[in-house]
Amino acid sequence: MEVTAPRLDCSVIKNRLKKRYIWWNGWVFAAVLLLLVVCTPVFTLLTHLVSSPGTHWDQVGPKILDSYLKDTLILLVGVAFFTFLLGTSSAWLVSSYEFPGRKYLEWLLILPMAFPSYMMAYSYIGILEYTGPVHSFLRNSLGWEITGPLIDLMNLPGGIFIFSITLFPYVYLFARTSFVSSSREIQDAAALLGASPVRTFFSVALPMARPALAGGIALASMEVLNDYGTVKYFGLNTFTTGIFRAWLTLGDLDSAIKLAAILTTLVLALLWMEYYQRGNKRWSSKSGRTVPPHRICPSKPVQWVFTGVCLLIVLLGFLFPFSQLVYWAIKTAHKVIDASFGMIVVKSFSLAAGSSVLIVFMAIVLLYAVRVSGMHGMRYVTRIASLGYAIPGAVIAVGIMAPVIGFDKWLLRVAPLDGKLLLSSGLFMLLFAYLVRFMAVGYNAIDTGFQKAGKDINDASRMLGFNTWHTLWKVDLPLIRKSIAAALLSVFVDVIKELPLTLILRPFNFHTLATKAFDMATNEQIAESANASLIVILTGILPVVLLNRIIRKSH
Amino acid sequence: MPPVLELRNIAKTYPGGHRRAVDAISLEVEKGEILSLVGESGSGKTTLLRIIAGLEHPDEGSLVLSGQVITEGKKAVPPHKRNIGMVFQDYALFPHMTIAENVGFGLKGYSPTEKKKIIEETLALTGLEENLSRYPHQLSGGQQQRVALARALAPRPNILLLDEPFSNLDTVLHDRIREDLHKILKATGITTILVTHHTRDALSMADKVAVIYRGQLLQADTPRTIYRNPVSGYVANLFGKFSCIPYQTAVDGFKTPFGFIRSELRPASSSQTWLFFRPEQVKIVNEPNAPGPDILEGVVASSVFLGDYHRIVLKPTSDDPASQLTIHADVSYTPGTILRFYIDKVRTVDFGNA
Repeated sequence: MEVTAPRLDCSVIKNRLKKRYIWWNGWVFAAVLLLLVVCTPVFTLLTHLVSSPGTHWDQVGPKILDSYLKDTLILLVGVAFFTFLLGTSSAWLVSSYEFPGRKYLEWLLILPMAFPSYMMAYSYIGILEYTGPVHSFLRNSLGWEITGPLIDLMNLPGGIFIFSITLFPYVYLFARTSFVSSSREIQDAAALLGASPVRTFFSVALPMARPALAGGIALASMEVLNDYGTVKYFGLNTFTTGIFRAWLTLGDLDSAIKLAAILTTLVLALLWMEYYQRGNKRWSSKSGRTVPPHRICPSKPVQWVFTGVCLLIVLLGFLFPFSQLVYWAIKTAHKVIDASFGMIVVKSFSLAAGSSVLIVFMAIVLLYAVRVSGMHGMRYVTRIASLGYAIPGAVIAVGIMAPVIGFDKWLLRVAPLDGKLLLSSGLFMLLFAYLVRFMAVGYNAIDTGFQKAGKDINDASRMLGFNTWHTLWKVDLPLIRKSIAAALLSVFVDVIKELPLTLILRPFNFHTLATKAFDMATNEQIAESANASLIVILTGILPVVLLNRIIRKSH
Repeated sequence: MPPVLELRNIAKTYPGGHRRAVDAISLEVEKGEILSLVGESGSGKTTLLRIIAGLEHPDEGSLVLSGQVITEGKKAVPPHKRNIGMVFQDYALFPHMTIAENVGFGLKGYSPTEKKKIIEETLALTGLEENLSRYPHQLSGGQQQRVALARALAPRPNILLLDEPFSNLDTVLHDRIREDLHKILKATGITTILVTHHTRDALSMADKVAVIYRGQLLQADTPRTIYRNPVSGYVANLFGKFSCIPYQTAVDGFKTPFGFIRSELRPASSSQTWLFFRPEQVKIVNEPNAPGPDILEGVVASSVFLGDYHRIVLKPTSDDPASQLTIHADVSYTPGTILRFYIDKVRTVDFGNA
């Protein structure tokens, strides 16, 4: 090769090079500030855990042991067991066996996720009530005389059923990913050593999926602790209903905070258990080769049994309750849909859009600080910001309310703004709360994007003379645009579905689709609530479908 | 003329690391020189490269670029102000930009026509003849590397850093690209620091080789000196097979288990020293019974075919199990054969315990 080169002789530097403190970095500063803000509610709770009890503590305190703790724990254990059972078995069937309709059932099984559990509850109460389809069928077609409810769901087992049928997709998704990605060679090795498919499942696939399953069950448990709509509707006494009762009925914020603090301790214990059981062990295969396991083709009758099992789960978890809602929605549309309903839709969507933009923006700041700071501890510190997802909405709500109201009262004393409350009257508290609660959703999506893009890309740009800010605009953001879109969508849907935070922190007479559906349902207008519910659920289906496509593509 | 880059006592420990990743390394790089940092993976050579780039910050020591201190204490010139070019191990091409956009990325303050000219010139220099509007993923590994090199060279950097430039290329491509790269670097006269774990690359490309082991600089010298006069057994072994045989000093030479070698060398007898030589220094004498000084004798213990040569291990004819030596031969020998040979330019070494 002939080389005729210009001499690249630039060894003399004309300008004086200016040194800067290595830790001085605007990104780090912004990230630390953001972390402090996001941690406010937890700080509030921790300080109240040891403070003197509120005025109505004598009414709240005694209920902790005999109902709040008991109901909460029974729900948690029941839901953990049934989500495990439903999620793992369905995931194993669709990932190891071939049977009619498997392709469709594979993603239909995720759809219950689109249902907020309280909407699932309304729908089932409707299905089983005296005028509902089941009763009518038994009465009119079979001529049975039944008085009273056929199955009473308004109790703890009913709650467990509703939660399990809505939340099992968490376990299903994690389990399926694990079963599909655990190396085919390992399962082949088990088979060659003479293990039957059943033994392979119990002694190889299931233990290897353990951390994933625990992760899925932990997420489902978080959702149970977060829920207010279902437990309120079923009249169960969990910590969340206790917090609501203390604050909204008794007006005792101190007692509410104290309950919230105890619940937070419970959550932290749960998180720790999940972390501890995972330990340092590696369950994934070292080779990193992930050939999907070939699916076994059982005999025809067995195949139809598998189809039947999966179909039954889909029917119970999605098709029945969804049809019921559609039926109601059509029947009541003329009564419900008017200008004010339209306003609620607009408000809901703009609130969700606004908060998703805010949250994703913050997540990018936080993770970009990790990326460019060069400090190895940064990554762990910023993780704190994503803990909000584990903290129940009601807890975050009271944790934010106390300092914000305190600030407003102080402001009122110092500079009275015509008796107006600056922060606690508008949407500020709600946005703040969404930021705390859904930061994890944005954080994880953006994190995945950055990880995929790799750190070298960023380094390369800076070596070519661009500072961190320009590098973000020219290199990083264009590369993670898909992750940004995914993050925006996930947060958007989560905000649309959100109930407990919105109920406590919304301004007076402000309604989102979720609070409207909740209001109507608790006022014995279940059928009328279906229109709002349906919009929420249809919005929720969108990311579920996309999520499934992403998982499929990556394998 | 001062060195282009000076490393003074650079040290770094990663949080949670058990030992220093880089341990008090001092080095100088002259203008237009190609320096190769050689070591096993995890030896700290890449960390050192990233410290020079400004992507990592050392705990101790300072860096001087063309007479200006750029890293010292808690202060440093950020990477984007250093005008140092870097080619990353996985190239780190921007996947969302075309070849032209990648190469032109670091060019600031030029008119579009000037920019285009520089891009074309630099790509021609690196020998890439491709449609400039193609994207990195449409290129082969070798082509991607040329784009990465052009991208790093286009802004006319003070120093060029290359991180394992050959690790992603197959063996066939490897040798050709190494020769091309050497030509390009020498043609441009750019000061280059090259990190590699292939000692062959280091020997053939570099003007100076720095051997790094567990964060420490063992030896920095010309490739020839490193190969022929290694300071320790580790360095000797890193660059190829070698033999060490014991000896006793006589009046006009050395008595060894394989025979007598005449030599003017008079090593200090204070410590345990050995005769050191590389396999290719050993020449087999084919004429049987040709008597003469310096002709040694050994029994073939094993003979292994390795493609372009046979590796023969010899034992002394007398019963001395401790010593053996390795030679390269064109033909194979059956074990038990007695071979006569002499050693070209033998020298003594004191490797201590290493």
